[in-house]
Amino acid sequence: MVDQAWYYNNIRITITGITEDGESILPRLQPLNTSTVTQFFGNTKPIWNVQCYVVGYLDKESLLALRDGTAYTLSGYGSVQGNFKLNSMQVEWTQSYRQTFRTDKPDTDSVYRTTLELYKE
Amino acid sequence: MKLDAVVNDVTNIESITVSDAHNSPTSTAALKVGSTTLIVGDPITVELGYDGVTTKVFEGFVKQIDKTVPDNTLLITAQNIMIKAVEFFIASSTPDNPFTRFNISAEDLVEDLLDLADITNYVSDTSNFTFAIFNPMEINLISSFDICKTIADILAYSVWADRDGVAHFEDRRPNPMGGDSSIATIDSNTVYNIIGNTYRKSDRDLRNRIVVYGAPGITAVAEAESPHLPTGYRKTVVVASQWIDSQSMAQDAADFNLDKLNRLTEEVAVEVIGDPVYDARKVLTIDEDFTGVDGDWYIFSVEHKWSSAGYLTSMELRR
Repeated sequence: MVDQAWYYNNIRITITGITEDGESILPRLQPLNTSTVTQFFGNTKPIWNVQCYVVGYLDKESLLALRDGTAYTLSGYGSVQGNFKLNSMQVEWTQSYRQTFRTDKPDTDSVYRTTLELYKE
Repeated sequence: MKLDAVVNDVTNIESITVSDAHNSPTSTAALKVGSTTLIVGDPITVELGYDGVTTKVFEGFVKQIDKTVPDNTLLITAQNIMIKAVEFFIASSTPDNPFTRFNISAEDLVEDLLDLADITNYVSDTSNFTFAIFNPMEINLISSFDICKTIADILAYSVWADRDGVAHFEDRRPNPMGGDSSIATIDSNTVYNIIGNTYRKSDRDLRNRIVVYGAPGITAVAEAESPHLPTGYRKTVVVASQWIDSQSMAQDAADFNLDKLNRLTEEVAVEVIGDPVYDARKVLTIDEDFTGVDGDWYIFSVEHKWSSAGYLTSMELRR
């Protein structure tokens, strides 16, 4: 059976949602006597905001250590989703009595509600 | 419109600025790029345009490369071929035998001086102005460009290099002249590309009394009333050169410069949607309804600015 779980650089994360942002660079110039002129300068590579849970202090620290400008693999649904650089990571330590996200880990491990801002390569 | 730029041996171009001016020895290009295989001294050409159609706006040599962190971008600074004359300092290997010319036309003299700096692609007007008729002209310890500029100033000429790398020594005044043809029309009724402009009329550069000091005993004066100054009001400029060694040459120099300088300067600073056709020392036509500056204008300076903020061309126009 294919592993459906999500991993960022082989660190297990439990995804609750992903948003993707991308934009064109369209400078708008305003001549004196007519409508706006739009020029196309290119487009940005997508930015993924990944909302997820991370279980365990060591996994949380391992993710934070990925803020080094290197692109790491994000995989999920049994396939590679792309290579991403970790730009920022927001971590909220949740109040949990017993975690059940990861049965391979002690149920007393800490649970972190996390948002990863990932730059797609 | 999709912005396009073509530059040899660079990738990931972030911005390009190319500037040139009537009174500037060289044109300059500044490029911010992600990476390059260019090194200092390499030839570089810059083309700008839209939708895959680009036009050369600069040809020159890389003079400096700056690497900036943390964004890891490279800033390349380049100047056109005239920089070779600016930096070629004429210093004879044998001080007793300096560069010497005798009875030589101004255009041939400038050609020889630029040739010293290895600038051989050269065109000129026929000046009918001869130096060193009676005494040999010895040139030493001055840059090739400086002496060419001095000669140009005596004749009210200009010396420059164009975007194709050709050096010019011509009767090119900083205003539209007879025989000029317009390279483009900025027409607010059909081509809506003016972003903004300002207009100024000034006697700042007006001179109506020219005094020429030549070789010992050679002087000449040319003066005239200006319709823009009170009667008898004189603004004087001096042209001094030991190489003017005939009275007729001195008088010609005075007359040429009076004709060039005894005029009111009208200036328009205009910014338009970027177009590589605009080039310094060319003439364009304006037909617009905002400030009423219709007519032919000389492009005194031009700056092409190409970046994620768009492609804009700023110009200072004069007549």
